[in-house]
Amino acid sequence: MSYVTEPRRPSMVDRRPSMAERRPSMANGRKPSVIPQLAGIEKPISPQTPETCDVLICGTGLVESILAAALAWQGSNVLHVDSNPYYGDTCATLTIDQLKDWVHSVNQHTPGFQGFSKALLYIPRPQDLVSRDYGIDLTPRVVFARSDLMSLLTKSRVHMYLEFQSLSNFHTFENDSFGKLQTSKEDIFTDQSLSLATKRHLMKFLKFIFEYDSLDNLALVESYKDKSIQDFLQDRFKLDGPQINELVYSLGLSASPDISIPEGLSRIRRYLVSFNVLGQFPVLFSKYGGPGEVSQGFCRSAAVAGSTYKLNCALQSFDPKTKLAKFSDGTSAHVTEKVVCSPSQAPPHASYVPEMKYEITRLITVVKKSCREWMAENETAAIVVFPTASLSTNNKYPVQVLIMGAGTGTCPVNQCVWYLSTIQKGEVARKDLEAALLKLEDSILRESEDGFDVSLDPEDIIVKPDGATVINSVKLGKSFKDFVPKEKLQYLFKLCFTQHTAVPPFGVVSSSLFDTSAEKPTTDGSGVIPDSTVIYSNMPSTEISYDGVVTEAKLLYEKIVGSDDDFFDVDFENEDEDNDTLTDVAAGDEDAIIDDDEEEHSKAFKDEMDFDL
Amino acid sequence: MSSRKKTILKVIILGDSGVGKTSLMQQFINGKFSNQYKATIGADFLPKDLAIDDKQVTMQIWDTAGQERFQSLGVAFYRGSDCCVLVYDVTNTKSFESISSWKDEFLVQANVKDPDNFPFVVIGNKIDVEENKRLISGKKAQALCAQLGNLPYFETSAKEAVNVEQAFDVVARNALQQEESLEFADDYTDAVNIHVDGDNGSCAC
Repeated sequence: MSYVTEPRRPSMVDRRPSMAERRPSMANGRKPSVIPQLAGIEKPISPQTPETCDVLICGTGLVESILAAALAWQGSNVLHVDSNPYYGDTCATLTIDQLKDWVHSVNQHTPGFQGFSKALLYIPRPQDLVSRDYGIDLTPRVVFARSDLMSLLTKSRVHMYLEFQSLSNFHTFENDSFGKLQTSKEDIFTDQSLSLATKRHLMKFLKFIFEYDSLDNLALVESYKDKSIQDFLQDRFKLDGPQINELVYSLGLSASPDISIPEGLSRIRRYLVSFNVLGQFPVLFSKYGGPGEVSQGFCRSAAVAGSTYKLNCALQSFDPKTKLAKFSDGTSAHVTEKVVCSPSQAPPHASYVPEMKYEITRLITVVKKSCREWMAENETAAIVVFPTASLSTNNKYPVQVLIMGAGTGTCPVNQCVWYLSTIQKGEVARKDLEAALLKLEDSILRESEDGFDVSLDPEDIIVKPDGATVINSVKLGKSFKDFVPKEKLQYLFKLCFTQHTAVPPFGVVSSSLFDTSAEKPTTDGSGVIPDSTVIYSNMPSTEISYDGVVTEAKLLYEKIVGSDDDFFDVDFENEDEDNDTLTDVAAGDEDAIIDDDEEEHSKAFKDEMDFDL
Repeated sequence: MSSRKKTILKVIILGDSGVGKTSLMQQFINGKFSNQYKATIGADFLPKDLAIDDKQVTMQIWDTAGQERFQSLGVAFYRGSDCCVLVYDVTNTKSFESISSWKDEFLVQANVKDPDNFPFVVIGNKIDVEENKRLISGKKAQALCAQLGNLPYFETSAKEAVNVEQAFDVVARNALQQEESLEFADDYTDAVNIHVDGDNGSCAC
């Protein structure tokens, strides 16, 4: 029996059947895309590096790992290597010892560490740090409860390999103190520092945001085309500086004041629609480390679908004529389709690594304080934002800070990791970060000091309906200015470095970044150029959330497969119905729930906002 | 503490490629054995509900998914394990010699707080082979287990379902003991239930 079918993707005609197609279960009429747990493939594995693969991926950063899993489930034979002995590449989660080596390698310009520069490490008492008790992220990120990555994590079941925790406290630095974000109706009502007029304006804006898609509102935004988001919020909603800062920099987590109105609004909306999706918090993060952990989840998924993993293995060259990839361990592989490589792991003498115009400077420190004062009850992390021009350095760009306490599994009890970052460049960036660090230090010392007393009048303390008390933050701010700490904050670890990227702030990765169609010389005078047909992925973007990561993986997938139609188009089999501990809603259904939920949620929110002030 | 429905015990199986890790897991969970050698692809982790004395637990057995082949198991794989099963093939000397390095690897990667008391179980698999093919004697294996800290030792045949049940019973009991010893030290934060199954996860609203 034979029949002819039109090949969907000429380039992938000879791919092996997808995981779903290879299953014997197809024969008994089951839906072809259902994958039973625990099956196997037909041929035994060889102990050597496979001699051929469809796609070779170098670098186990998050984007590359998502790509590997997507390709593996689609049916491609993937060989995924990394020059490091650990997973994560440019977004790895590292122990103290690994970081020491990392800093050394970056400063020595060792191959495998391109894209980073000027790393400075300070550890005052090395004997006090147990290396493995720490998991420091090179690229810390938080995930919005309603986002493409969250959907992909559930759809791919990769969330089952990970543990997520919630984060609800977003603080904005203002008037020398930290204001906690007011995003619920109750919060806005009970905040005595807001005038009635301000409250009304804020409510009006929140309502607008949820009806942003309406034609009237789109037209309104269009009429402000040449204005900044700050002007728009001030002019249209009569909001003041502090509220604008909270909306743009804290809710929106914008890394720059130069942001278009639609982009700014969609970022604020992103926060609001993520609220109450999985609970009363907008964002989550993975325990034990951020993207470094998540990428390991996707690599495991890829391995389950048949990808081969090899750490400690660097690409040395890829010859486009013979299609032979050579590795640092002396092995080689024949690549039938494409080679994807992280810029950090470009082969020696590479000529086509994309230009990286943008920078992010990070200051990561471990302090000997729990910093519980900044976190919500039952939580272990917080976000602090220093808006533009809020520091002594008159910072042009905001400083974003991720606070990770001991409960995140990344540092010991009574310690805390602070991740500060800015998209400012060079020495100015480092000064801004140091200025923000001083403010954080002042703040945590006075907030955690027992004897610190603010003279408050009874009307300064507001008891909310749920019994929680709120203290008039204006009054607190004034007292804080006179505060002299009795103790000093102990820094156990301090690391500063610059990361370069080709992705502009807020920029969705442009597919031209991966363009390899242009004719490039494959040889020069001295021989074969090692990377003329290599597709480069990107260094991590400056974004503090995971947004953009899935888009980039999809673009790469499309470059390789021809379309992204079947990107993770996999239905995992339901587990036994009597097994209720690992309830598993089929991926498709879950998607549906999210969609329904979105509408319902927006509606609920609108209803909630729909009242007269 | 939060009202966790059931105790989940994470068990990981380590050992060289081809010693029968997946087969043991299959035999224990599903009571099946496939004669055809299949490299571990498509194997993830399998849950099994058990009653240990009066306590209901769910044991999750995690397979290496083939990532052990080039020593490329990431640190995330090891996290939160309550028991580690070390498997070798009685007909393969090299796999037996690897047992103690797998144990060391586990202790380093999992960053176990109390390494001397962490539960390991050693399994010598494939005892269904003819006597003359067997290269590692029970005596030799027991000596090694004694040396590694009196680790419980079982000889099994995943193929003929010999001793598999018994071995995993000890695995489950020791895992539960480990989990209970940690419960008190557990931190204050609750994990978020990612499942969008209508009850909004761990949200206490």
